[in-house]
Amino acid sequence: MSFKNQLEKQCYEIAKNTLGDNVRVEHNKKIQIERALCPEVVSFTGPPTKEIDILMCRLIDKPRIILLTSCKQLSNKAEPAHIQEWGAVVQTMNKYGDGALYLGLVISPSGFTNGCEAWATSHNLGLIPPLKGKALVFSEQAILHMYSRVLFALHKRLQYTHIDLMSPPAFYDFVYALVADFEGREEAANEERYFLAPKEWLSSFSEMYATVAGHIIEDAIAVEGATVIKLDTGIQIRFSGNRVDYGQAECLEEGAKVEPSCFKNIEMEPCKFEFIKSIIIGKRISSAGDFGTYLEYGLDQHYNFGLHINGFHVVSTKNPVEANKL
Amino acid sequence: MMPIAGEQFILTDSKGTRVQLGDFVEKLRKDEKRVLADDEVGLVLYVGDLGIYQWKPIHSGEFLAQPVTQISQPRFHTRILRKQIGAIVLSVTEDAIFIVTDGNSLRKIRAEKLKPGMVLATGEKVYR
Repeated sequence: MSFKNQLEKQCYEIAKNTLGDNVRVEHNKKIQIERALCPEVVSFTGPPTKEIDILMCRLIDKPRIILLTSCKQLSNKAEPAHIQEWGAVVQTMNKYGDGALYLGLVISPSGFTNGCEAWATSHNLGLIPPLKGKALVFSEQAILHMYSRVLFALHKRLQYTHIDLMSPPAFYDFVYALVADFEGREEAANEERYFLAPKEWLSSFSEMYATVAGHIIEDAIAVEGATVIKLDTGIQIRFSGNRVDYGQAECLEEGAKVEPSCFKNIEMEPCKFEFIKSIIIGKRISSAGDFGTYLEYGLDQHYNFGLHINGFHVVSTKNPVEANKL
Repeated sequence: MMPIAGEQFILTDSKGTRVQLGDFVEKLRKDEKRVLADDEVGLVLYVGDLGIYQWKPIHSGEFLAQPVTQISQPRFHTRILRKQIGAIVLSVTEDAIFIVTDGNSLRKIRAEKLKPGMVLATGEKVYR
């Protein structure tokens, strides 16, 4: 099978993995529509020349619903003309579909100009990536992830009903709802600091804090290159300098155990690890802060407990400072 | 489609009984068929066949019930803004889309660019 561009090849492979053999690619092809009495031919070639390349995915059989995907690998953003053209293709296919229903999707990693949205909504076409207010460029990996997400969701969604998706702008909205949240993910991806175990999903400080807030510390350990704390309900947090892993996974404490460097009070006076443990164990996480070289948690609103790459610190937050030294 | 912050959602069943979003999502999450997406971007559930309604405040101060087909729980939340539109004060995500009048035409803008004095397509004025 030949492909017009790398994007089309990657999308084809994703569709194959998601939908099995119900996927095919056609280039510059006269599309013959099967009709019982009079076969009709709808051509998209000829003057004015239009090269229509289609990635066709059969989503369900009863009724036959087919997704027509246009893979635009352009140096600039796709323009309304591209959307109008695809709208005409989907409209024609629906007109001569002999019972089959067609949905349209346009993928343009370089993005879309502003005028595209109005045409996409009126033609009921999905757009990947989403056209949003921010000038955000999505990575190629994110674009393919969006396509995979839409295909998987659409396939499942159609098991319930399809009628509502056929009227504009329902399908446009359906695709938008599935890909719009990639914006926040892309922003977090620029940092690549927080990861949710055990799947190593990209995460963020706010999600980490939402997961651990209110939980009680049960233990702390130091391993080569990282420090780890264990919370109730099996949650663990591993701090290794430029990376923070957290979640319900025992693998986070992997590594050769080492003796941590431990400090107390604002002056960072050396102390024993057992002293640190005697204070933190049984305390509830009440706040958190990421200071780059260390991660700090507020405990019961009375202590700050820091995780460094090679040890821990603990500070009392009670006032006056001098009278409340540990 | 969730431009309004999750905390502000009022969901009911077809009899008007309040549905608690958190418990409802956790219950449905176990039903594989309903999970349209559950990955590092977030969770999307299909609820179109369950007769669930979302209640949105309108200009008159009353609530309008709209059927809900999907519930999305993104893992990467956008910033929440407080906006007073007409008589209603709403918490909306910064990427929520509003349609405002601009002379004789309409244009779409994100909530973060909504400014006092603007008038929505619905005729409601933005106060803050």
